Amino acid sequence: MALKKGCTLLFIFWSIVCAQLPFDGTKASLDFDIGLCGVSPFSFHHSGRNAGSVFEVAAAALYEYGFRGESQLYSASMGGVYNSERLSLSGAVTMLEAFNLYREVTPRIGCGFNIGKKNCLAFFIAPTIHSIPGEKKSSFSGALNIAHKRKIITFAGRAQFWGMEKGEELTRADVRLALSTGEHKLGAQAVALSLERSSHVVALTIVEQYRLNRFVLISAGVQSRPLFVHVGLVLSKGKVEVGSLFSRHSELGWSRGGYLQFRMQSEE
Amino acid sequence: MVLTDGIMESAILSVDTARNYVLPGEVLLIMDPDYFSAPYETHYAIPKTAVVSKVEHSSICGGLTETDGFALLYGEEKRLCALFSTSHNSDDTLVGKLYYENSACKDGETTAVHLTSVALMHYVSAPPTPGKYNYCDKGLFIEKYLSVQQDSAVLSLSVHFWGEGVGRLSLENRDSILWKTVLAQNDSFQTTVSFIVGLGEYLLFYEHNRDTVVDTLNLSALFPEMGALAVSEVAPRSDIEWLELYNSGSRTIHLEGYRLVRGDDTVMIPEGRIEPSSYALLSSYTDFMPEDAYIRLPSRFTLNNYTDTIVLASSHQSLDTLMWDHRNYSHWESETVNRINDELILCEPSPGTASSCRDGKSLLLSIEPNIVTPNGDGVDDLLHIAFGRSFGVQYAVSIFDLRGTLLYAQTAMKPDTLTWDGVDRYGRSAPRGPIFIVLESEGSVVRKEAVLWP
Repeated sequence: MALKKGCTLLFIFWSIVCAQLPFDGTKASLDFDIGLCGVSPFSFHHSGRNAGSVFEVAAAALYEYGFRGESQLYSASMGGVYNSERLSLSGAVTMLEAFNLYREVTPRIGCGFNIGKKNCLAFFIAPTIHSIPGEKKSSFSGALNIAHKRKIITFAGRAQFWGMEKGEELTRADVRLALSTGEHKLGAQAVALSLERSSHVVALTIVEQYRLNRFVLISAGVQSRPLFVHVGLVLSKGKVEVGSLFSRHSELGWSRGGYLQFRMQSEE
Repeated sequence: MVLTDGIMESAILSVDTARNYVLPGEVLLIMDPDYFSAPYETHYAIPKTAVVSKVEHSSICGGLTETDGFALLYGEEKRLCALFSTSHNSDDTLVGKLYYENSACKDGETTAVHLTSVALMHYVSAPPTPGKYNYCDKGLFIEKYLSVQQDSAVLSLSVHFWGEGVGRLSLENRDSILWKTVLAQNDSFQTTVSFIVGLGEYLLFYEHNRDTVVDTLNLSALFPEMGALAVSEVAPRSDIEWLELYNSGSRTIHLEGYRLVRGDDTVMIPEGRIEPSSYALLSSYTDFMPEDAYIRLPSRFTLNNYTDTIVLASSHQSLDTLMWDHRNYSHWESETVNRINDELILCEPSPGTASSCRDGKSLLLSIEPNIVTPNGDGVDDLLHIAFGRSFGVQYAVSIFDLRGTLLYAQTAMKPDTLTWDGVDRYGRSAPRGPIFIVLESEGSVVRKEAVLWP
């Protein structure tokens, strides 16, 4: 039970981290693409920490960079994760609509393997279809994650690329090292360093979250390069979790989003 | 208004206009039904485009026929450019029609503007006495001359009285009687008196054998509140050119008598008015807006798309000058020239309403195209960023991608145009997707959005 509780807390923590922060460079990723092995709500279950199978579905919407309220940049995601003791699978689709000019549709599939009781290896791939009026193109993204859990601390590493097109050299990629704690008396914390491959830009992310009670959890964080701050509020009851998220880019302003998650778990 | 011919050829007629004064640049209708063959060419100037109003047939001494002629006298000029004939309408009115043009007269002659002192003549007469025999031969005849100076005017009354009966004449303003005289019976009297008049309404009373006429001289248009009326916005680049006037004063301004001067071309603003703190739109395009939403200018009044100067003038002085030069602006497309706090800036069109660029503080940023395709095909390969507001301040232009990553940054000290080729600060092709162009200057920030499509 302790493990289950720890996993749940860790899951929630990372849910906040990944859902509300520009953790991988997207300012409020609700699109299930971040990482695996404990770096995203769904990928946690790839690590197989649950003592039974878990199935989750979630939907999220994001209104990005609302500048004086006139931004026309929206994204919406839906996805689900199935997680058994050794193997987990996830699938999601994200749609982004920008300025009535541009659209992205990105389906993603992910797979995770548990190696022993403390390690996880996972990946995802995500082809993206980009379109403007009268024209379409496609690109690929993907990531490989590893995670090691020791007591309440999780070490994670990730290598990710995105936006790569057929026949093109890989230019958009980063590696990330993250360290997070499970929930304790002072809440839960996470720190991540990411290094962008070709620009050599290093970004630092720091997150603090605090559970007010069993239903309410708040979080705040900051990221450099680019500079984001975020606050978030998550309400959970039973199998349902609702999150409301706000992040602010230093120049582009606020993004806001929300998600609804439903979780079903079978006891072993 | 009552008019007669200048040589008293027993003709009196009334024109159905409430106007009882004439401003510089306007035309004055002179009618001489019984002296049609006179060599007008040597005496009068007439604008070709003038339109004669309805004439009340009943007031014409001896009746007006279709062969009667009108001459239009313009300002100080005394040269005939056209003659008008009349015709009967079913409602017993006459409509004047142009039937003679002097080919030697140019359009420009009819629109010459004197911005300083201009002498005007206004012919008035004693009230008509229809039904009375020989009424045209006797009576009170007054010529009014209004000489307008910078901030005052001299009203001169040349009074002619051909006895029979008694005539009284007085000039009053709202507070007092300025002058009055009684003209004795059977006198043949002629005199000229002058008054310095200013802003306000003056009443000229004529009384002749118990018939009384009150001639109202409203000189408000001659002496507008200084700075109250100005050109607030102009759309020279638009397919449909228009300009906007703003009344910042406390009084309603009647536009009749005001002029717009553009180079050698001058147009009189037709009838219209602007309430305090309100706008008026002027355009020469018929499909500009519903007709009651704007004041229509003569069709010849067009604006240069790039560089031009418009002068707004009252009857005797220049009130406002709006001069624009596209070279002072880094983008010159859909925006209009707005005057905000004595500064001319480009802003989104706002015909008839306050500019969306408040207080002159708003930055101007435009981009072209909104889908940038840096693929080397020569079409939309570059993002053109134009920005500015005024000189001498620092501008910072930044481009961000969807992730909020800074792709490009540049600063400038004046309104300028930049181009971006889709390459980020590290020499890489920026990722496909939405981009945000942010302009910051003195604490103000504006943003535009585009799509990068390499």
